Amino acid sequence: MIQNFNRRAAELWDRAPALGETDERFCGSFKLFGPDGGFMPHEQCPMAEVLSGKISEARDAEVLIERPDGSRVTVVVNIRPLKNLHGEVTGAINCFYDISERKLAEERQLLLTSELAHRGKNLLAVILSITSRSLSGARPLAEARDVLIQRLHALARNQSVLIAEGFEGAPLTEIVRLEFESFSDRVKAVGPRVMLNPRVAQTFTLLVHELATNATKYGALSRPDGQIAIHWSIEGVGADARFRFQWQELNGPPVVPPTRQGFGRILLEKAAAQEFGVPPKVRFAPEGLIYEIEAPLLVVAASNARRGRKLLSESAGSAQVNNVSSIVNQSLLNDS
Amino acid sequence: MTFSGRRVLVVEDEFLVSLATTDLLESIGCEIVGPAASLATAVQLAQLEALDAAVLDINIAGELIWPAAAELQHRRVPFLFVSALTPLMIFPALFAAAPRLDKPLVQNRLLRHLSEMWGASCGAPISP
Repeated sequence: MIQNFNRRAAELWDRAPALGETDERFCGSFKLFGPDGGFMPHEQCPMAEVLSGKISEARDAEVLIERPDGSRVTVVVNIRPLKNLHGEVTGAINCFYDISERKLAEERQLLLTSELAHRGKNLLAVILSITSRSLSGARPLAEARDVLIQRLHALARNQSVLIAEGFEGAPLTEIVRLEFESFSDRVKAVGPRVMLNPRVAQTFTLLVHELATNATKYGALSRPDGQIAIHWSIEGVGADARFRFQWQELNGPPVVPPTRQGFGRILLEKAAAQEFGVPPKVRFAPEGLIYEIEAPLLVVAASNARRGRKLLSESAGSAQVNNVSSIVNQSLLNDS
Repeated sequence: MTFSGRRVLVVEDEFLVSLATTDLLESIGCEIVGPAASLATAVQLAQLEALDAAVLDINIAGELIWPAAAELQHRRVPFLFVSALTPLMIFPALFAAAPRLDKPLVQNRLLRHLSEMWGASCGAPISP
């Protein structure tokens, strides 16, 4: 029977059990669950086990409290028995505190870790693809090696941006900026802030790299007056919002459509088509190459669905251990 | 037993990763069905195409491949799973016997599993 409890206990249970009431056994909570989510009858909770002598004490045991409104908090319980002069257990004290925020952070950590593992392995597979395809064309080996190395560097730059953003995604401006660090006066990039999700960011990095490489070798950047105008926009709202990206070359040499179906072309045409759901528009206009992508914003943007809740460190001071939450004084004698 | 002309369904949502898989299979003479980049396409191809085997990515654009795998199982088309998350995944008991390969695919390992699958078959693809 519960003899006493403090205010914090009542807050965590979200109820105030009647004292000395034989119906309120062992715990003032509405319902209890084990850390794995399995239902825990009150008769089997840590308090009951200490009182019955099944365990000598409860140390840092995790329990899920379900409140009358259905909400749940995870708590850590520490229970010590009270004994009489004969050493018999006559009651127990339960001191428990809220670790819900910590649990949330742990869950988020696990999600992030598994996502990182996933992306890491996929990255290796992508590197294998790029390496194999970059080296299997008709090019002389030295040239092929150079092309491969530049593509791998582009991937590495993308990784750096993703890491800087905690793997939430990569800002499109960063992707473009990093590709053109040495051409900044001839490349103009204008567009709203868009955070691409990690997968799309990787594809975009490779596409921009490919476009830049081609521009340097055969296109606008191969001439001193040549320029690149990059422009992106978001139109519409909500689920219908669309992302548009355009790459336009100006003042370059006369444009000649490529004849070779090299890996670069496969990237620009097929990889883009699969990633965005719609094939990109490629026009070999007299002024220069125009390359356009259009996709639903939902496909392209980083999602915050899982990351809606803030990190523990951002909401400092809440629900820490020093909120010694509750003291439940349980008497065994009055139970019989 | 030959690999040549064997029709293999490939399911993989990341284009560049699918290239590695299809390149590998084509280099040993297989014919690629797909690749499918969505669960819907995967199920459709699993239902409609004549197949000798399937290589299935588990997580396709946020959905799990199980419905397509069930389709293949029903048709008795042998398949194997390929995933970056294999050690952490919980597989439906129905597919407990299907081989699970790690990403990226390693040629020797893939060949060994395909040999085992096809060593037992008569050589003609399984029609829908």
